[in-house]
Amino acid sequence: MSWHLTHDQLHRYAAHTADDVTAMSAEAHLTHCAHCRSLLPADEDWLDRSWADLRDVVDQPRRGAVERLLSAIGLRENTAKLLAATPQLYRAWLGATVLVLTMALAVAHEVPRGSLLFSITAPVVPLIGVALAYGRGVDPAHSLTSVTPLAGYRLLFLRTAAVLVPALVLCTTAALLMPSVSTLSEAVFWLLPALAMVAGCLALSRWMALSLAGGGVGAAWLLALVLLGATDGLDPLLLFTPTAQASWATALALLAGVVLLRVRAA
Amino acid sequence: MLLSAVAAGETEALEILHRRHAPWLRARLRYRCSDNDQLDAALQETFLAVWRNAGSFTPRPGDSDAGAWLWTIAIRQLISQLRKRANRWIAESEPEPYETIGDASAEDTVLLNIEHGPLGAALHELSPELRSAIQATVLDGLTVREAAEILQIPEGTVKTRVMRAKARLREALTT
Amino acid sequence: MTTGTTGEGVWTANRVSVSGLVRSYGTRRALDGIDLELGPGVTGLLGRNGAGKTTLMRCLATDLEASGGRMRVLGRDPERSADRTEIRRRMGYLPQFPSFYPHFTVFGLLDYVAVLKELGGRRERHDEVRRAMRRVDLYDRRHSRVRRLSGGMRQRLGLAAALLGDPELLLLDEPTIGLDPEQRIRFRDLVSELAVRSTVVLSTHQIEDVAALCRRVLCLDQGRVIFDGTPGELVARARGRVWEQGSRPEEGVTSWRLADGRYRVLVPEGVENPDSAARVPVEPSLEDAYLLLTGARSGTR
Repeated sequence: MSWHLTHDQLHRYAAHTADDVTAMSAEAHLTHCAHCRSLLPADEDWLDRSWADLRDVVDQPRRGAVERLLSAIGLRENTAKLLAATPQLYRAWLGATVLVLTMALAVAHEVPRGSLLFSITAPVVPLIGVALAYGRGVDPAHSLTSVTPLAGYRLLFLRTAAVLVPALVLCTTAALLMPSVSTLSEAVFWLLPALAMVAGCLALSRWMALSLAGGGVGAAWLLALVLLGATDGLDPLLLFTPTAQASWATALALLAGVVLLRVRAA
Repeated sequence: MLLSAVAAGETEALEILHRRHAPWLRARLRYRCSDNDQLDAALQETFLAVWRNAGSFTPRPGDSDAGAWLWTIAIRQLISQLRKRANRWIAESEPEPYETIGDASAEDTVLLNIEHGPLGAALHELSPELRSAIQATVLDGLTVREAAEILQIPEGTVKTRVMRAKARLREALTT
Repeated sequence: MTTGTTGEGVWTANRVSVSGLVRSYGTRRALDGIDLELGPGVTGLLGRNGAGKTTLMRCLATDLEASGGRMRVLGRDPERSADRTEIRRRMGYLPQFPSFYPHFTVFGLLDYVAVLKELGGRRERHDEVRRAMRRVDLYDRRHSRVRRLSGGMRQRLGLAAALLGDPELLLLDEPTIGLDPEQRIRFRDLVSELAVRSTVVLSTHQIEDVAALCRRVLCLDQGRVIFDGTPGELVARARGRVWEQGSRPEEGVTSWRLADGRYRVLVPEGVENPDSAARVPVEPSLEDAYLLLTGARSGTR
């Protein structure tokens, strides 16, 4: 470049006081002259702000597929982030659930009285998921997050929701594919026991780790099945009769009440 | 080179590029748009486009750096901002093939020394309307349609103004 | 508890005030009547494994509930839910063995913690996370996955998580594990800078960190405070009890062989100090003083 803009020209151009022709000349020159560009007075505050705005668009934490999906279906950014950040055990549970339900379906179609397998597994699917979703021992980041303001019930319920939604969808789908099922009401016989057990697990977690509470409730379920199966004249399917359903509903209401009271009191 | 570092996704390189080029691009855009919000939005979009497309930059002969390339992005982003503001309800139309008037690069070399050459005096003689038509098409390298948008006049008017301006300049330079 | 109001809000003179704090696990008392008052500055928490350091830290961090006694953290009562949330907003805690989601990036993980800490809108939150990453020198690794980080980097990641939100009370449980000497120097630098405004409690086995950083030392043993004072006061207690000699000493004292073949001997209180011509008295280090303190209570090792 054989010539450069003068100090005066640069200042007038930057201050927007140059006349049209001088401005055109300055512009034609600046396009190609790094030296004069570097001397052009700049508004540092504006430059910093502008960079901060830009940086926040180009430099963000990477968002996983699940988080993007949750945002896409309209969840708030923070909620999506909290729901997507789940321990790996949760993913393992999701995979195992799909596997077990597929197996139960196959058995139900191939073996006489094979639908029993589905009947006894479906109610515990959400319970296992909840037990693995939150707390020391199952969540590696728990020690880091348990003393944040949002930890405790809010995170616990969020994680429970993250378990219940896929669990209920998967189990209902599987139930509708069962050979003997024809209506939706027949397909959800497992729902009340499942919800009651989840509520029981949440209620118990006041005194023990969530995973332990889940284990306890699950063991009780297993015990009930074994007792009913081993006793003459009784059948595990008694757990799903209309009378039993009424009891499950009552238990669910009571346990949900206990959980809510706890949250209020906390 | 800085742009290849930007293309590689280094935000530090983008920061340097922004620090170097945002001030003059902003000063230049300010001569074309008085709304600071639109201006800043256009600049932000410019650097975002650079961030995404830095790999596609190929210097033209005579370009010492990315200045000219950045400007073509910036001015087009400004036009698209103005378009958004003006016609929010009209869907973005397909871009037409660019129709430019004259050979911009040849005239650039003349313009480089406007102040000191006879062209400066000739430009001074032009009416502001004719001058802005020349500025948009020759200096900024816009298509007729883009020039019409930024000057907010019909395309036909751009064409006639440019022709008239060029005739005046030629006249002034040859006499 | 004294509180006063300055221009911008309530300022608590004693950030931590604990009296008669008990925490039991079954029949075992991990904390057995702790009394302490902590103001601004760095306090070092020393003690052998199992002395109750981590339990005390977790109680202060509202991670564990006390079994008895009275606690005020930042002027609030951790037993009340609303107070507990308020404490958590203003406190940063680095647990003893922090672990993370390995598939998260550094930026992503800290952003997740920042959401849990309720830090502002997206933009402010990201700025705060960037600031924390810069402070612990992880900014260049912000898009690395956690599983690719070295042990020292993970430790710094945990520290960054604790620093989010500029806490008034910072509880660091063995923060220098896994850091190399240069990183430890940087860590000390960072903590002294933070301690100008915040109250920092540093639980550690690294006596050098305490000597370099702390205005105050607390020693725990079997769930009780056995020393509370300045490092200088702890050293003063050991004066006249540290010797060097040429031969291995008799039983009843703590001693170890030095590089030059001589023996360093720590003579606990209550043990007769045999006047031997071969012994030379030396100025105790903080480590000598600490060993004498803990050794004196539970016999020689």
